[in-house]
Amino acid sequence: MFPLFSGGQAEQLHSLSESRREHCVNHKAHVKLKKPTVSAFRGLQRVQAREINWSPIGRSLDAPWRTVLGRPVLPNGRELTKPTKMTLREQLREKISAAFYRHGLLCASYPVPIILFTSASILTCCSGIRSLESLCLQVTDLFPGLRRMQSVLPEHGCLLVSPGNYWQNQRELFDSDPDPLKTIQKHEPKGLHTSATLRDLLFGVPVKHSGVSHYNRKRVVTYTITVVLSSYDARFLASLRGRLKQLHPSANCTLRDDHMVHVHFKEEIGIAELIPLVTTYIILFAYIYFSTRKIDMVKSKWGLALAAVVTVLSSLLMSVGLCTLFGLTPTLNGGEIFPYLVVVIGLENVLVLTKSVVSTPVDLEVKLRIAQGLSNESWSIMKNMATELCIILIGYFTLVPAIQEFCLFAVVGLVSDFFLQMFFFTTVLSIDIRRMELADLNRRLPAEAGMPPPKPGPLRTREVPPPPRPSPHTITLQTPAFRNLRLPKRLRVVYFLARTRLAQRIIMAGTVIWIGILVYTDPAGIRTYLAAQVSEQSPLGDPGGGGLPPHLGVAPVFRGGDPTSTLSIHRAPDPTPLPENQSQGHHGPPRAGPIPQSPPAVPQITWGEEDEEGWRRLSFRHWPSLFSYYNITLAKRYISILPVIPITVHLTPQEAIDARHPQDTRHPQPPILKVSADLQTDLTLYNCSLSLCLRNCSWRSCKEKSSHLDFSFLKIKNIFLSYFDIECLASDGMLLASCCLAGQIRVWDAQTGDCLTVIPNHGLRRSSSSGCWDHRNGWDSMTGAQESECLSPERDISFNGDGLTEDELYPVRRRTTPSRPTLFIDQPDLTPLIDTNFTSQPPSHLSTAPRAGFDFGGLVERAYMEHEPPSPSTYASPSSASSSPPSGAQLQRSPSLGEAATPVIQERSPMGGAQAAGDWESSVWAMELRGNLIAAGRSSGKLEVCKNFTCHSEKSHTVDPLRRSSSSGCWDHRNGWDSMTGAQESECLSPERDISFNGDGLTEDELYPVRRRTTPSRPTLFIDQPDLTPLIDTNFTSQPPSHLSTAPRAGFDFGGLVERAYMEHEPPSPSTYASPSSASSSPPSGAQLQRSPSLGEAATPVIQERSPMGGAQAAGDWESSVWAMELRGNLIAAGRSSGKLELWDAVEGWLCCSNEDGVSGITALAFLNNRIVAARLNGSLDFFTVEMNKPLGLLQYRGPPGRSSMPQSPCYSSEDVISCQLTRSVQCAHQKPITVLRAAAGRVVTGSQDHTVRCVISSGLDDLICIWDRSTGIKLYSIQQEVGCGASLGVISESLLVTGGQGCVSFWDLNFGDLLQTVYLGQSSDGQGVRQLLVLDNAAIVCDFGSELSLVYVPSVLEKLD
Amino acid sequence: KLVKVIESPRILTPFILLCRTTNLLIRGAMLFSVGVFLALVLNLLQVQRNITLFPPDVITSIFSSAWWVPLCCGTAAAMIGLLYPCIDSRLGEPHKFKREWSSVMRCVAVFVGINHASAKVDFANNVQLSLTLAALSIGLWWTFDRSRSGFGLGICIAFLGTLATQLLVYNGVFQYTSPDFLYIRSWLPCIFFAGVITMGNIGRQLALVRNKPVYIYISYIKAKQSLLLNS
Repeated sequence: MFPLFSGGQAEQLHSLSESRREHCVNHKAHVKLKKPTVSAFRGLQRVQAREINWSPIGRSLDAPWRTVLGRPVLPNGRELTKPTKMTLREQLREKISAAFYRHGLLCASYPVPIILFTSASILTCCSGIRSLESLCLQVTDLFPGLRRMQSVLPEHGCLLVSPGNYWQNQRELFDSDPDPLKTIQKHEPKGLHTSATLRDLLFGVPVKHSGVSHYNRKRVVTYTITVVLSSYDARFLASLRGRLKQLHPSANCTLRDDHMVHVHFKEEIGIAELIPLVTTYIILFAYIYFSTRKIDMVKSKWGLALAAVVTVLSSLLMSVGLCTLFGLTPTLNGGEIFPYLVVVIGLENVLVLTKSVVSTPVDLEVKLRIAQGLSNESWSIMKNMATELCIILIGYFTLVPAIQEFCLFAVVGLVSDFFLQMFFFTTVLSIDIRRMELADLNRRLPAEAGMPPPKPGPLRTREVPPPPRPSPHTITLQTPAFRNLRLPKRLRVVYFLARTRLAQRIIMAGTVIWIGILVYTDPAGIRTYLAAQVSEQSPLGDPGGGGLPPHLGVAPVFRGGDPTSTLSIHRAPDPTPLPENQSQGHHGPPRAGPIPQSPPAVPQITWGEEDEEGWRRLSFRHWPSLFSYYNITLAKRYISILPVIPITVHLTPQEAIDARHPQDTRHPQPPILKVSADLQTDLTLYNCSLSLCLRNCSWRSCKEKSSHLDFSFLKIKNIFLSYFDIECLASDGMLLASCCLAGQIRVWDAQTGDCLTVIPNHGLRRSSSSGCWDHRNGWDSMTGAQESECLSPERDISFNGDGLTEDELYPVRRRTTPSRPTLFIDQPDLTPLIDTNFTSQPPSHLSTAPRAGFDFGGLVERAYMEHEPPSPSTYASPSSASSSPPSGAQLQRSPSLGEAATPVIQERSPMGGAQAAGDWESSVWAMELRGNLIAAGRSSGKLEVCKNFTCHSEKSHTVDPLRRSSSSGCWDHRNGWDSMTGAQESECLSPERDISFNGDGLTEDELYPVRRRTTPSRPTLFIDQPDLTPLIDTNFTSQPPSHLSTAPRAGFDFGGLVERAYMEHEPPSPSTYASPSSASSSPPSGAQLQRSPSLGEAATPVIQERSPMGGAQAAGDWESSVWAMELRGNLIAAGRSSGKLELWDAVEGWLCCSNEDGVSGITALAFLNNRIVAARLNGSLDFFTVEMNKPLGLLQYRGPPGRSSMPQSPCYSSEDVISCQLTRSVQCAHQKPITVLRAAAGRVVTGSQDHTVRCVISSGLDDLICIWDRSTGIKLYSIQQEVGCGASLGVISESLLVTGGQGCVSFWDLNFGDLLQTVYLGQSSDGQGVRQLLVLDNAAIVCDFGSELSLVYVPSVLEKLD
Repeated sequence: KLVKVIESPRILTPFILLCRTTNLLIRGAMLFSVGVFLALVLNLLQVQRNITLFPPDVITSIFSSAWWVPLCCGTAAAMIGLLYPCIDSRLGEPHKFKREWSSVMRCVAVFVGINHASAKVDFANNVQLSLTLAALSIGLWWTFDRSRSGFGLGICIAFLGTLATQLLVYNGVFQYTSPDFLYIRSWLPCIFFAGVITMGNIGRQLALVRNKPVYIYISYIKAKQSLLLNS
């Protein structure tokens, strides 16, 4: 059913069905999967596809939950019939979920209409349209200190400014004025004034352009009449314009009617006031940044982040607009409360939505994905929203006006935010997902197509790098951490600048700050801007077009009048300036004769573009000073300069002379009517500059990138269901094997990141598909269940049977021989040490002797226990458990036994903590994968070689267990060899063991001579050790029934997930007991089995007191765990903690040679051509030369790997001609002044590549990577890595080194030590360091982030560099 | 062999200690700077409202308070920020609620908002002010913390802080323009409480982030090392 998870363990299957349930019932998000990944999806995918097929059917054996619940389920996740018993809450949940589901379908189905609808509604809401009375700006008193201007400036009426004001707008006064110029001059203040003077104000044009002087040769006088309106009224203006045109038809006017200029006056802000607000905005930005950073697994991160922000912002705008619409006038400073509103509304829902949608299975239709994701999160979204609404409503009842207003805004904002999430964001998300789908498909095709052909060479299975793939993740380039480089300083500076893109960053930051400040200054301006856009688009014709939120208007004191009446009012002053004596025309004779009113002969005054811009010539203080006279601040307000209405009045000389009083001042009449109202932002400007800047930046970075290297990355993250860090990684290009601390090995497809096989540590017995794996499971991964299983004799028996009968695992016939007590301590051939735990002590009164350790690996914790019959008197043997005859009852009980044991463990662990920690022994410390062999070195010193069948096992069950057993039998022996524990020694003591062993060796493939079973009465003889039994089995050696007190020691080790326990058995008072070995063969009695848990409990105290005693001894026994391993061809190099380097034949499994030149443990190994570089614990580097004169693997060694093959023998087989010599040794490769670090250091991780490069790279726990010259042993340079990432480095091509950092990988030029690029993998926010890094042949990099793996493809690197 | 085994812990222990110490120092420094910054900014708000008065020789804008105020705040922030994760680990209940930077930022923003409200919003009377702020603070706790230890610690420190402030005021180090109640501004405990929650939040997050690699690393070393030792 689950081919992909065929190696799965209990938890996995469980979680699988769990997730399946959620998909069908649809009420719970399984966002628990922290970061769902492409590969994870792909892994789920087939399962999912199947589900889709069967879920309408409704019932299936695979879905027990459904039969339990008894609800038929629709494919879309809704249920046909409500179960009778549902709480109200559940019903509500169901309903909400269903509604969201439908909504999701809807959104994903019609994205475009919905987006249109949404934006329309945003616009509608934002422009809280209000038809406005046109009004001129009514002014009241002048500012108190300006009494002297009282005569000139209007008071208590419309603010209408014209030169006529000099004469109080009365023609009589003007007429009687003997010298208008003098009058004008009279009001000018003395002294130098740069700002707007009264004359500027009244004339509305700069003085020198007005032509009002004695020396005006052109005889053209220009002035403007300024009518200040408080709001824009098109009808009024149109009628005004029409009227003026009618009065003074002017020709050649090229001015546009619809050109409006908005001048915005910023608020004056004290720095003190600014700081808190800037802080708030900084926090806001940080919030948005950290929130949107979590968006992952989408096509365009930036796009979605933008959409999220837009959602929130426009919901705010909508709320303001709506509030305005309903007549709530905001009194709060928009800029101040804005960030708080954003924070209150929050981006959480959006993110949750994204996550949920993204974590739906990829192979579903987009619609369905969206729908599922939505409905998964429906409950939490609704709950959150309800909670927030409640909180805010509570705030509303504080009865503080400001808070109430805030709450009101927030409530409306929340609601509109919800609306936008549902309609806008969901739709955007669906579009994004759809794009993602396409990209995903594109990427998947080549990967699948490229899978099958394995290349002949074992080392290089795939030569063609996969085509460059679109990178779904944004790659951020960031400042690299501090590194030591040997570079010229000047270059370093340049590189630094280039690398960090300092300039761009500064510009960006500046822009952001600038925007922030601007937004702060008038965030409300945004919506005004929108409104202005609306009004500007409808070219001035729309009477309501200039919709202004009323609060923006000038203070409500100024009440406007009826447009028409205003018109009449305004008409009056208009003619006032006219009656001047003037001449006109640019070229016209200054004193021409009388010219008709509309004189074609007279040179025309043309109004051109430059006049349109006339306002620009005014002083920038012009408007502020004008309004300041009336104590009106323009801060945060707008002045909109309406289109100029040009009027030309020609005065004939006759008229001029007529009008001339005593003076002859000329005033042509081009009154420029300026109407100013409060309006509109200059935000367009920002937009332009911003986009420009951004484009600039992106362009530059693009360019820079392309000039460097063109990396394209694809990351595939895999989630490990285990909670443990990945301990080692190995790969041969096509396959990738990883092993976590728990000892669980997983095999991945290196191309796609799919998990092919899981070799769990827990001995969940998987059915027949891959027998060998089961065995391996048995080895390392003892869980409580497993053990209990092992306790039951049936299990063991059947296990043995596996070896014999190929896929039919459990020969039940053995059950028929329940009465043979002593015989069956079967150790299946592949059974690891663990099984040995169940050695049974002879039924003796020996109080301390029979101890049996059990360990129960939970997922996270592993407990370890010993069984020692404290009062051994009555019990035959605790070990009888394992050998007790099979009775069904016992089997059933065994789990409970495991359970019973666990509590004991817990109470134990605090006590025996130190001990326990010490006991975890055989986690996999080194691993290599080559071809279909997996070699694993365990901390217990075992070397294990497994064929990696499972990769193929899905397709073909070609594995012949028999053959396998024979072929890998030698490996087991090897296990036996090196991993000598105290137990092993005890084995040597027992003669029977040897006998059986030898016997097995003789009968080659037939492992279990069953005939022995027929001799049940021989207690001591049959400790069968099948030929494949590793040493571990030797634990169960039975001592001859002797009184030998010290002899029977049995070592047990229990691999826990994280920890591994190990024990020794030493009967302290051995005297009285005939044979401890009989234990294992004790007659089966159900009662004993049941008692065993209690027995375990009783045993525990003894252990504690024991262990301190035997400690030193134990330490001696564990000498050489495998710390490093390398596999090349069929040669395995293993470095041991004892400092020994061993070369093994991987096919045949014998020790080719060993070298004991070094003393300190080998921590890492690497093959060079025919060299092996070994790094030692003391920080030294050794270079070994391997010479082989004969091809390996020809010899068939059949004999039992004798005890003589204990690691002491340097050359095991005389036929072998492989020799290994230490050629060179570099002491203190890693020097660090602090000895503390240095001693811990020197864990050389990788020796570099084999071809042309001359360097060896080493890195240590001091996080220093040193590059050495291979031939000379000179250190070229070193690179300081980030803490904890010392082990992560790899060489991609000849000149490209890749190292891992905190959540990133960096690429270095190997030859010069330059940092080329740092790529952030968009990993977990906390920036887990890359613990290990592995380079595959196909230019992919595997990074190990603790419990996650990332696959990074860098195909283009190879293309470019090679 | 044995020698090697024995010597490794001797070497590693100082290393681990070093890691922890630097980690602690870095965290402390970050928290301190955050505290100083917030104190400056928030005090500015109060000064604008003329609530706190300092001797007149202060410079105008930023350093409008006495020099020791930000320092005290920074120290307190560092202490609180270190105390919270410490207490969490002591109690053995790691704080798992909303452990994200975005949430922390939100918390800080709300805290600033509370300050803002207390400084800028006109309340009818002080009781209303205090009640509102108390509600807001508790809302803050509920939204971002929800741990009993956090609440208790917050209350305690708020109490102590208020007490200390009162002592200062009593001794004339500085004064409020209009004390509400026994020389104390009545909103002070609420602000303290919210501040404690906020700093605790930051501290926990920092501890989470800074600890992870180190702890993984240390545990990794430890596992190997203890294995060596015990075997």
